[in-house]
Amino acid sequence: MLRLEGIEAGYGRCAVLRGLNLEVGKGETVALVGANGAGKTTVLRTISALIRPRAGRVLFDGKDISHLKPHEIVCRGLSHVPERRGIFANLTVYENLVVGGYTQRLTSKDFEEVYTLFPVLRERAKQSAGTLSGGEQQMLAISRALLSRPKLLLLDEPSLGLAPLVTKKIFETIQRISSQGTTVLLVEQNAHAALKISQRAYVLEVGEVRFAGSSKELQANDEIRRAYLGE
Amino acid sequence: MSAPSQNAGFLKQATITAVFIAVLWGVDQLLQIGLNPYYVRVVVNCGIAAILALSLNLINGCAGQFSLGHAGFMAVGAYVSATLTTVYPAGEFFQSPLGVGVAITIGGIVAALAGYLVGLPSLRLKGDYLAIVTLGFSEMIRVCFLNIPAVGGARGMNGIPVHSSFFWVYLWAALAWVFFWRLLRSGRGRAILALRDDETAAEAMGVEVSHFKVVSFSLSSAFAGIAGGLFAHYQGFIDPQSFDFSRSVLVVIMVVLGGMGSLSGAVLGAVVVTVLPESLRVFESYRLIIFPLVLILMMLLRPKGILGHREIWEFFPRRAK
Ligand SMILES: Nc1ncnc2c1ncn2[C@@H]1O[C@H](COP(=O)(O)OP(=O)(O)OP(=O)(O)O)[C@@H](O)[C@H]1O
Ligand SMILES: [Mg+2]
Repeated sequence: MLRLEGIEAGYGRCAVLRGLNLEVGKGETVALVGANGAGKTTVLRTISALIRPRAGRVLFDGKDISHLKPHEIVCRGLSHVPERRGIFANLTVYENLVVGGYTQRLTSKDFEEVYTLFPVLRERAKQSAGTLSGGEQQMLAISRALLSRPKLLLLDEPSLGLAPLVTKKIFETIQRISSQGTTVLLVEQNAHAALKISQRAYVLEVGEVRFAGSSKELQANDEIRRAYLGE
Repeated sequence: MSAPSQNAGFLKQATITAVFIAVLWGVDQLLQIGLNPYYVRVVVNCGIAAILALSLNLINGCAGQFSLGHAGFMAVGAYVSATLTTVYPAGEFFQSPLGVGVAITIGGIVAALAGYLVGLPSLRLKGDYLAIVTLGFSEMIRVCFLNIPAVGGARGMNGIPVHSSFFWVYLWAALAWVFFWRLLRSGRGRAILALRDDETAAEAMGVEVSHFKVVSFSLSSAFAGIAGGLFAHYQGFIDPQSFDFSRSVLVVIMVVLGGMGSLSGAVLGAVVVTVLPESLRVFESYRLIIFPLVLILMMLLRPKGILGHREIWEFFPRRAK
């Protein structure tokens, strides 16, 4: 469904990704883990065209999307939950959701769906999003992305700054979203949890894929356990 | 929604509009007989200021850009419409009240085009940098008019037919209100508001950031141009000095004072900034000190503007049923 071929990207003169190859199959949940600064966020930003690759191609559903604009990519069914959530703090929860579904014709049924996923958002619908707790903001960010009806959902550190219990709830929801047919590419620091809910994973190290394989394999790999799972 | 209820809704709206226009007209007549012309002038100036503030609010308050050039767009509207009605009056038509209305509308359209041009650099610039570009642009416009003899140069234009009145100014102000109100409650409006909070996230949600920046500049300039046209045809006289930097600053003050992003705040700011200097006339030249002092005090007391991001009625919660 998504394939990155020889992606080179960076900021200004500083190269971050150096010939990265990555693939996500339809219906899969794929985890992308790695140390701080490895370039995980940069991968997601390249996919959703927030930055342009210097070389390489991004194929989505077999078509090259690396020349498209961000909004065109959203229209094709790719939605990005940015790192630190990027919610619109001065808009209400409801308005955030409306912007999320900007490319779609939303009906009340769409809102019902995300409210069922996260009931707390229904209670807070009229509250300005900046007043939500960190966990609620993450729920909002995920719901907002879902309203563009993505085929592929890119999640950048959904557990950032959340209490263990909330993290658990978020990961359960990600599993639920995936079981309803959405493909997920999940960037996480919390490698344990990410490997648990994903089928395959990539380990990124300074802009290159260090390991790739099924999540079970990686969980069993001694080197990875030491370097990324802190054992 | 079913067809009959849609019809009923339309009828209701048409009735409200008709009643509103009738009331405006009635008040206009009363003002002409009853009220001291000086007060009428202040009231009309409030209306013009309200249109300016409502329109600037879209860029500065809602889209999160910073324009310091609103007087420039106002000047475009004023000069274009006044040229049509005074310098090259295309027959009798542009002298009539209807013709003046058409001329003012054309002025608004030309101002929108100017806004489109200024909107383009805003794609790359933000904050202070954008403010400087828009300021430079509005000064450029002013200097242009200063050097075109056909529009009077530094002497300005005299003898502009006086056809805008309380009625027309407040009709346009109401139109501006309804327009921006509906815009901000539509999907597009929310997309514009999203720009202010997080441009990157808005982009990731599929909002065409550049498109919306340029569109908000054009829409906002259109209404600034209309305010300019109304101003010209109310005063009967314009000169480049009427559209200098200090007027742009005053409009920014109205928006900031009222509360960024709040429509009722913009109107409130416009009224305060227009009426306050007038009511301070008893202090004679001291008012030039008192006016800024009052503004500073207000901002200290309510740093987010009088209303903040909210609308005025949100301060009076409806009693729970
Ligand atoms: N806007 C930017 N300008 C310049 N350099 C940047 C920018 N954003 C990121 N970088 C650099 O790119 C490299 C990779 O950053 P990236 O955000 O992709 O890492 P990450 O894997 O997501 O890290 P983390 O786990 O901490 O979020 C870092 O060295 C960072 O300093
Ligand atoms: Mg990151």
